[in-house]
Order: sequence, then structure tokens, then C-alpha cells
Amino acid sequence: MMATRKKRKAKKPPQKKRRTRSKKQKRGDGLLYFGGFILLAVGYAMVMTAGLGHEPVLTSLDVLPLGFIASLFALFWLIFRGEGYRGDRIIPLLTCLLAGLGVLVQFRLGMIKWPEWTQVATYVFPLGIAVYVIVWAAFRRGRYAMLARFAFPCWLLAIVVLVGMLAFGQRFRGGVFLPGNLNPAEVIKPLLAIFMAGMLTQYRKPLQQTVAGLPAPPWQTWMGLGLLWSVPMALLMVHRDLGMMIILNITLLLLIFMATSRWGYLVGGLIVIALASYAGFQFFSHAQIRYAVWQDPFQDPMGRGWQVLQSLSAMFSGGLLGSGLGTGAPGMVPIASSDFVYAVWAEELGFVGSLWLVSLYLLLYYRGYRIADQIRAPFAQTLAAALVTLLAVQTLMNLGGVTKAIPLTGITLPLISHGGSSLLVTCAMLGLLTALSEPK
Amino acid sequence: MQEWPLEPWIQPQWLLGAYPVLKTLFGILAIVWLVALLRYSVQGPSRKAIGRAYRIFFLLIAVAAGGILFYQATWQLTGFARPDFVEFMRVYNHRPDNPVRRMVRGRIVDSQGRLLAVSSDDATGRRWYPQRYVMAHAVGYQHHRYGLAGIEAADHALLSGLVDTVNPDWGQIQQSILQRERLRGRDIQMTLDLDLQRAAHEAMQGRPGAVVFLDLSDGSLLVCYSSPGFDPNQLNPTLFERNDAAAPLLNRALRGLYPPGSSFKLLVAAAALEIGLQPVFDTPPDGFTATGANQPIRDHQYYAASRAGRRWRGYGPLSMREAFAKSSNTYFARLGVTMGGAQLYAVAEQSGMTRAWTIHSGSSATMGSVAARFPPLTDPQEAATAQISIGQGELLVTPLHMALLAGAAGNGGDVWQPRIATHISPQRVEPFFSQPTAEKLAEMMRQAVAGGTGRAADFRGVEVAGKTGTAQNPHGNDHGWFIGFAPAAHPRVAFAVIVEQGGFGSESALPVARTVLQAAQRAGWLDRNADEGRR
Repeated sequence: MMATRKKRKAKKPPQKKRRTRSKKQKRGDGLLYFGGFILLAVGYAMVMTAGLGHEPVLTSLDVLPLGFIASLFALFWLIFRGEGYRGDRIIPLLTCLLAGLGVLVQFRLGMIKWPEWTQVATYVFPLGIAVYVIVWAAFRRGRYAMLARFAFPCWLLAIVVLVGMLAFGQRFRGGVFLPGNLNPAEVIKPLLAIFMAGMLTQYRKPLQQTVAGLPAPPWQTWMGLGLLWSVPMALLMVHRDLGMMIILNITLLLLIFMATSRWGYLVGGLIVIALASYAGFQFFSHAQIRYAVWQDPFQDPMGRGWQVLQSLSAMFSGGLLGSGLGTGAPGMVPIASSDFVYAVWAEELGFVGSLWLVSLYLLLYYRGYRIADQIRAPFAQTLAAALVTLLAVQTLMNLGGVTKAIPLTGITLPLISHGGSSLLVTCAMLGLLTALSEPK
Repeated sequence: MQEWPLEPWIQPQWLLGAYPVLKTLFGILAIVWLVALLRYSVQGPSRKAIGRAYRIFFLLIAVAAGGILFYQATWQLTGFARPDFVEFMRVYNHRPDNPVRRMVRGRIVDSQGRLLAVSSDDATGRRWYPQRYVMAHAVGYQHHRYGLAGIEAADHALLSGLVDTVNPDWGQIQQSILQRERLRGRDIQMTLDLDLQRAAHEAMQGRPGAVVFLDLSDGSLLVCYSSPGFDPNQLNPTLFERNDAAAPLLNRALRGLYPPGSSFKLLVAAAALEIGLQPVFDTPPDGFTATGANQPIRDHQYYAASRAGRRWRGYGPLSMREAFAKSSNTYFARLGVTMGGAQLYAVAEQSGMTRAWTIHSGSSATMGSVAARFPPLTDPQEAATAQISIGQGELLVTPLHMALLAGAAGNGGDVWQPRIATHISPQRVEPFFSQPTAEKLAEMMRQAVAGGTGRAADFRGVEVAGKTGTAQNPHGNDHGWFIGFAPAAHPRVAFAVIVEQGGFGSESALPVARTVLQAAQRAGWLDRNADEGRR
């Protein structure tokens, strides 16, 4: 293998400089994949060992999660280490590791049972990885540029999804879901990201106009874009999907600021958001309840405050170093496998483990912004920034809700929470981001 | 699904011993991997730093994440400084390794101070129940996997050392959490008497059923025994998974619903006496047929005779007292229909037969009986009224209900709120019925033992008043009941005993009651001046 590669290098010296990287760097890449797998394998051994205390029987199906993690790492290593891939190397690696952690945590929580096909977590992780690879392959090598033409159709599709869910869905825990608790509304995140990127690229110039230092776009632009944006927002309000609204609006605000470099938008947007949240707070009783619970969960510790207080109790029990994977008591935290998966992590891996996990997410988003920074084409750049911001805000809102830093919004933790639609959409977004990272 | 049992040479202990090693390895690997990843990010192939605009974006995200982590640390690492939080965790954080509950759980003792539950002083804090099966249902259990039951659940907050004072000393509590000291939870004294409870356990011999004994002077439960039992020291999943009729976890004394059979005639008599009804009815061999009923209600003697191939001529005209002693179904069915279902229901409601009784309002939960099933009766439903008047039909009661009823008869109609722990002070409730009615009932019950169906209940030195019952049930053999009070002349305790599918009450439940009464006599519960002796 080495010999043939050397031979090829020798034959084509002009290409060597551009295409190949140094041997040292290549080894680092493979070692990271291998090390990540070993880390997860040790975690898997911990889960199994801890479980043996109660049921000293291994079933052959228990080995499957480890097999899946192994094939996941092997697949990513094979796809993304090769010469053919010229994009960011850390995003696939982190996607792979975080998805592996997701499988491990869900397996530990008993959500992955292979013969039971009703358990969504069982097949949603393999499916998510497939979606990631397919989206990446579909939009790589500059093919993402064609998405610019689909800005308006994406907006339309988002509306269709939201209206369709209202028509066919049912209410559960305050939100709207399709049967089987699918939440296709997640898909509007990438759709509206494409829409935002398209519109901001198209109307950058009018949006940049200022009067006396304040942003003053022509009223046609202003009204047009505002009306377009208000349709999905109004629908989300009917859905009572407060979390999604916050994620989308914060992203929009940051993107406008980035596209126009006008501070006025940031300041004005924050004022508008503050006013809108105050108005929404007056109208929606469930928002008031969530705010009250956040302010003082001890008012109703056994009722509304129960969830977040159990989450914090789990963290306190974990302490600095945690009880160790598989030895905590996740059964005490309601919805531990999905929205509150971070509480389980913090209990079993401790505060140090939380720091570690948050560092991984931060590195992922750092690399994401780095990709956006390096893209020249305005549409692709804005799209990359939109995708990263959406995921980052989602992560922060989940962590903040679980730790009671902000009111609960019922949002999943990307790649680790058990949530079918959310996981698939996250994978698609990261796949698109990976495609964007590759030069044409 | 194929299962691989562990090979004999792989001992689970070894694997469990490997856990700390794996945990350390995981920690080291995770940190090394993160450092390698960061190095790769900085020095790897795509190491160019990002521009200013996006750096601001990233910094915003990173500052927010840092803020969240800092806030998380104020709960995760220094949560002990939040009194509300600590209090919440002491009550509702049931984790075995909950740092806030590194304390010795309070003990549970019986009315004489004998140990019923105690926790070990070591780090495991393991709960030990020295009386095993005898006290299983009333005391319950505290288990890190199976949770809480019995008084362990009801007074969890007190036992686990939750503040029972108005102003807890938070400084001391926080100190103890930090220094990993072990505070001691409050001890709880139950009103139950271990000797009596053990007598009930031995007399029941594992047959399904329940025994309830009440102290008539203050409503204290002396016996609250349910059979079959379980060993709270050895809880296992099969105990919770099994769904059979034996149901060892069910506390039958409080939550077992049974047809009361003839023992319910006590209430029918009370309802009639309350409106001054004391008729003499003829009791012909072909019984009493209510309007709308398909079958006549006949006396037991009729069936016994026809089984033996003889004819029974009926008791003839009976007064209420005679009918009660002979437990005549014909008489009481007719009595019930004569006074009407509405009157019967009104007195049943007054006598607490339709509601759920709380026996303990603990610091964490309440403990009590289920509500009896008493179909509301209106006058046209004569057939149903006749059935209920002999304790059958859709009527279902718990042993506690019957013990309270018997106690009211012995106590001049007065009733105390039943209680199971001494730190709840005794409390009177509304009388079940008037004093003349109660005196009449007491006399009839004494008569039923002295010259009726309950003849075998008396023992040396103690006269018992009571009523047997033999309740038909759709699941098999008849349930045997015996309810009453003792001593007959100056009642001190009331009781209800049921033996599921035990046949005649006089043959199954009555000997159990007698055995426990003998134990009660030995323990001094039946003495005239028992109060002075005990307190």
C-alpha cells in the first residue's frame, strides 16, 4: 500500500503539492478515529459490566451496539480519510463520535433493543448516518450552489409541512406531533436555513442601506421579507413550538447582522425579540407556567418543578467525576432518553464529563463557522453560517433548559437525544455542512 | 433470541471488580482523545484560523455555553448551598448514592419498642427488617430499586431525616453533606404489637386472608396483618411481576375487597334498630323471595339438610336477637327489604362503610384503606337490597371496615380515627350509630358467641362478643369471617379476621381470632385498667 502510493507520488510530482498531506497528519486522522472507537468500546464495556450486577446474562443481541459503533467508525474512516475528500476533517470525525456516544447512551438507557422494531432509537442512528452520507454525497463538489435557486420552494415546503402537521397531527405535551410522535416540523430548520441564505444573498444590498447610521432598507424589501417570514412564525405559534421559534429567530438575527455588518439590526432585533416575547408571554398561559417554573421550581416540586429538579438532583448526585456510565439512576429523571439526556450524562460522567461533551460541541461549531468563513460564495457562506447557528442555538437551549439556566423549551440535544425526526434532520444538516466545506 | 449464559469461569464479581479500572481508563482516554483532537484542529491540515466576524459568532456561543456550565456547577458541585434544593433531594431523590442522604435512616419500632426496621451504620445504609414476614405489609420496605411501601413510604420524610422542625439548621446540614457525616433520621413508633402480630402470623399459617385488631380506647391498630406475606429483606423482581391470586404484596387488611357475608348483618341490624324496627319474622324453609329476584334467599340449614337428604322445617318465628345468633338469611333479607335500601345505605354511609379510611397521614404520603364498594340502593331495587342485607351481591368491604363496625358496636357507637403510628394523636370521628343501638348490638353479638354460631370464641377468663360470616364468592370456596370485640363486658379491642376460601367463619376465621385474643390477653390488652398499665 505504502509502496504503491509512493510510486504514484513519484510519477505525478506536480499534483503532489496540492493533493496530498504529510504522512504525519494522515496518521493523526486515522489514530483519532481509532482512539474514538476505543473510547466508545471502553464505555460500552462499562455499561455492560454495570448491568451485570443485576442480570448476569449476556444476550447475543447485546453485542450489536458495539458492532454498529465499530462499523460507523470504519465507514467514516474509509470515506473521509481518502484523497477524494478535501473538506473539513473534524466535522465528520465529531459527527461520528457524537452519534456513537448517542448510541452508547441510548443503549445504556435501554432504548436500543434489536429485536423490537417499535423502538425508534434502534434504527434511527443507522438511518441518520445514512442520511448524513447521502446528503454529503448529493451536495458535494459545489452542487450545493444549486440550492440557491430553491430558496422560495423551500419556504413553501416548510409551510406545507407545518400546515400538514396541523391537519393530520395530534397534540402531545403541548406540541403537535404526527402518529408515533414523529415531529416532521424539525425539517423546517434546514428548509428555512436555505430560505434565509437565499433571501439574504439576494437582498443584501437593499438591507445594507442606512439612514443616519440606522439600517433603513426600502419598504418593499422590508415588508416583503417580513411577510414571508411571518407566515412560518405564525404557524409555529399555532403549533406552540416556542423552542423552534426562538432558534429560528436568533439565527435570523445573527445572519442579518453577518450579511449586512450593521449593528443596528442586532440591537433592533434584540428589542423586537424582547417585545415579542413579552407579548407572547401575556398571551400564552403555558409560557407563563414555564417561566414561573423556571423562576421557582420549588413552588410545585412534585408537579411542574419535578422534571427539572430531578434533572438537577441527578447532576448533584453525579458530582465532579460522576458515578460512571451505567451506574446512575436515569429512571428518576422524566424523559431521560430524549430532552433530558444531558442530565443522565452529567450524572454518570460528572461535571468533568459535561465539560468534555460541551467542548466537543463547541469544537464542532467552531469548525462550522470556520467553514463559513472560508467559503467565498455569499449564498453558501450564509447557508453554512445558518446551519451552524441553528445547531449551536439548539444545543445551548437544550443545555440551558436541563440545567435550569433558561426556561424549558422542550428541545433535543443534537445527535445524542433519542428523537427520530430531530436526529435525522441534524444528520442532514451536518451532511450539508460537510458538503459545503469541500471546495469545488 | 439466543442467550449466552456466562461461562462458569467468568465470575460476575471479577467483572464488577473491573468496573473502576474501566472507569479510570475511560476518563484518561477521553481526555487524551480531546487533547489530540484539539491539537489536530490547530496543527492539522486545515488549521487556518477563522476571520473576525465568525470569531464573534463563535465567542457568543462559547460565552453562552460557559455561562450555562458555570450555572450548572452551582447546582452540580455547590448545590448543597441551596436549602430548597437540599430539602427536595432529601425527600424525592431516591438514588442509593444520593449524597444528601448519606445518613442513617430512622428506626421503626412497635408499640413496646421492639425493632421492626433498622439501617446499617456503614456506607451501604442497608435496611434490615428483623421481623421479616410478620410485619411486612404494615412496615413496608425501602429499597433502592423497588422504592418505598408501607409506613416506610408514608413517613419517608421523617425517617430519612427530613426536617420536621420549622427552622432547620441548614448550616449543620450543609456541613454534614460536605464532610460526608451521617445524620440520623427520626425513629417512628408504630401502634402495632409484635406479639399479637406474630400470633396472627402463626394462626393464619400462610392461608390468604387478613387480621385487623383495633384498640378501642384510641383507635390504634394493634394488628394489621395480611397473608400471604413476603420478606422485605429479600425483594426480587418475581415478587413484583407475578400477577396471581396470591398477590403477596397486597395488604389485604386495608386493600383487600371481600363480600362480608353474614358479618354484615351487624350493620343491617343497626340500620333497623336506628329506626326502632325490631320485628318478628317467620322463617319458612323456602326462604324469602324479594320482588324481582330470581332465587329465594334461604337459610344455611336448608342447604345443609337437603345435602344430607333430609327436609328442614324452618326456624319458625324469630326475633332479631335469635335471628342474629342463628345468622338467619331469611330473616335479614326480609328485614332489609322491610326497612328499605335507602335506610340501609344511609346507616352504611354514617358507619363509614362506603368510604376509604386513612390510617396514617404521614410526612410523605397517606396510608389507608380503599373505599368499600357499596352500590347505592333505592327502594325499588328490592332484590339487590335483599342480597346486600345478607352481605352478598355487589357489596365488597375491607377487613378494616368490618373491624371499625364491630368496634363501634362495642364502644357505644363511638369511633376513633384508626391510626398506626404513635406520633399522630388520636382523634374521634362521628359516631356510627346511637348508644342504645350499639348496646343492643353488643348484646346480640355476645349472644351470638354465647349461644349461636360463634360458640368457640370464648376462652378461659375472657368473654368475646362477635359475629361469624361465611361469604360466597365467585372465585371458589366461601370466605370465612369473624368480627367482634372483647372482653364483652368492658370492650377493649375490636377485631376482624378473614380467611380467604376458608369455608365456615366459625371454623376458619374464629380460631385465628381466638389465638390472637389469647396473645392480647397475655400482653395485657384486655385488662380493665390496661391504659394505666401500658402508659
